[in-house]
Amino acid sequence: MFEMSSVLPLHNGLTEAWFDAVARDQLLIQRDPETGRVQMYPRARVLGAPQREPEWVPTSGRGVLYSFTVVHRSVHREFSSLTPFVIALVDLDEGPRITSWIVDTPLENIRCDMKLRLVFREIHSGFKMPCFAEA
Amino acid sequence: MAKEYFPSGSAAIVGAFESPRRKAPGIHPYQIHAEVIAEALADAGLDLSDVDGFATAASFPSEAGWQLNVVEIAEYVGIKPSWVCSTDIGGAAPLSHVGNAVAAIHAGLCETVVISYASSGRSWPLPASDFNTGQTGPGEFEVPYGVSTISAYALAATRYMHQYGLRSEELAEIAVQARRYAHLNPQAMYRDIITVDDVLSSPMISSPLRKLDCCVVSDSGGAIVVTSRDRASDTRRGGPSILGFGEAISHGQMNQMSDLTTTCAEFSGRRAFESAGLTPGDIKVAQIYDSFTITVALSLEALGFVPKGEVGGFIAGGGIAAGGRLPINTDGGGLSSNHAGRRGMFAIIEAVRQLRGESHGLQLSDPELCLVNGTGGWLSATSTLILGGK
Repeated sequence: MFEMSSVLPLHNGLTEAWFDAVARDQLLIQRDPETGRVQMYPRARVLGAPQREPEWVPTSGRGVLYSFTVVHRSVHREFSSLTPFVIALVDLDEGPRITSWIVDTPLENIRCDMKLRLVFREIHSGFKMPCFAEA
Repeated sequence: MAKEYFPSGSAAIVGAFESPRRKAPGIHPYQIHAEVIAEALADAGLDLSDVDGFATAASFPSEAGWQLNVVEIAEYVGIKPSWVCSTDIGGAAPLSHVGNAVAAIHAGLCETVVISYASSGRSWPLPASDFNTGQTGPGEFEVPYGVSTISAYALAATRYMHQYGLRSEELAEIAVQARRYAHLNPQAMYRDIITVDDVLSSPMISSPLRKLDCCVVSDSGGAIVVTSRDRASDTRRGGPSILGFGEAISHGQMNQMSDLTTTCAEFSGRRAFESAGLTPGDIKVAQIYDSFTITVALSLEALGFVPKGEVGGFIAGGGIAAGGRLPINTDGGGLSSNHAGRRGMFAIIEAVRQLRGESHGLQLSDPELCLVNGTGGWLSATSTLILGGK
């Protein structure tokens, strides 16, 4: 809980695969092989059914903006130099909601429920993550 | 008819004390624990030797919590409890401590419980946590994007405003109203009257939330004493009974919150009303956790005080003003009076004061009931109490 010297994720055996895919400009989600239900964030087991393991599936890269906030002030040094930046909750067409950033889009164009397309951006030095832009 | 899953009315809050501290540089939070426990027991006319149950939560850096913090604080003060509780659901935790204390007393695990809280949220040199979770596990997919507590609430505000047409002016009125009550409270951190324009011209932090949409950050603490209704008559002043209780948890990561326009107070509130055999219409004054203005707006609807989507009109129409349908946060709330990290404790104490006729801010004329709703984390958890009777 103490101030993090880095905001970069510390991977584990499971999440390594997801970040490896991001490095190849792929956004993976997980699917329950029995019901077909999809989930994010990645978990070792199916959400609500820990007796089953999910499988990785690719996404189309299309989504809709559920909500967003333009961050003007941040106390953390990794983010204070990046303001303003736009945090977003994006509903992927496949179903899951993910946290992301809106990029390459004028602030005045950003609206809830707008259609988005997936892009990949280096959001911290040497660290790429999925982001979204207006479709 | 009250539901029997909670022993409604079987216990009472017989002592309460809110630290007048707001800025306490160099003061360790455990000192504040000791101070407020002493004063709450004095208020009840009890001694530490009467206490056989203890509850607190102190996991935040500003609370000096490391591991086993409930053990360490009991040790520091000198409490030897037969029942202990450290449910940690953020700022709502003190309310859950009360509800669980009532159940423990009813079950015979203990007789008299002290619940304390202290934090040097403002001045303690330990750094504050910046993000909602660590950057490993679930947080790997949210922390790198910089989702702070304020940003999380801002996401909820953006969605609610989009979906229901709530205006920034209406949200601002919640902060303005809190300051009116804080103006009456000599202990409040900020007391100067503010206007909607003041809120709207304060710096934008994370849109649509501005500085004055956010709670104060104080160094403070509080404690309450809970005992059985039977034993309450032997205390110095008695106090209101705990009539209803409900708690609920929702999410850890914002991307797991399915509907950002409501809170799990829909569930905890319903449980509280059902266990008390009451409805929202019975409640004329409430303490509603106000970490941010949007927290109040969402909670008023989730608790059933206002129909879904209509809270903007309710606020604009004076619904939370003195003389309105439901005055709230009568001490000035977290927005103006006191918020050291877990506002729930201060909300409970103000409810007790309100029912004793001793509000630090706006005192209503002889209220019979007061609802308290706590919201923890980033709309992550809620706990609801209904207090009443003498």
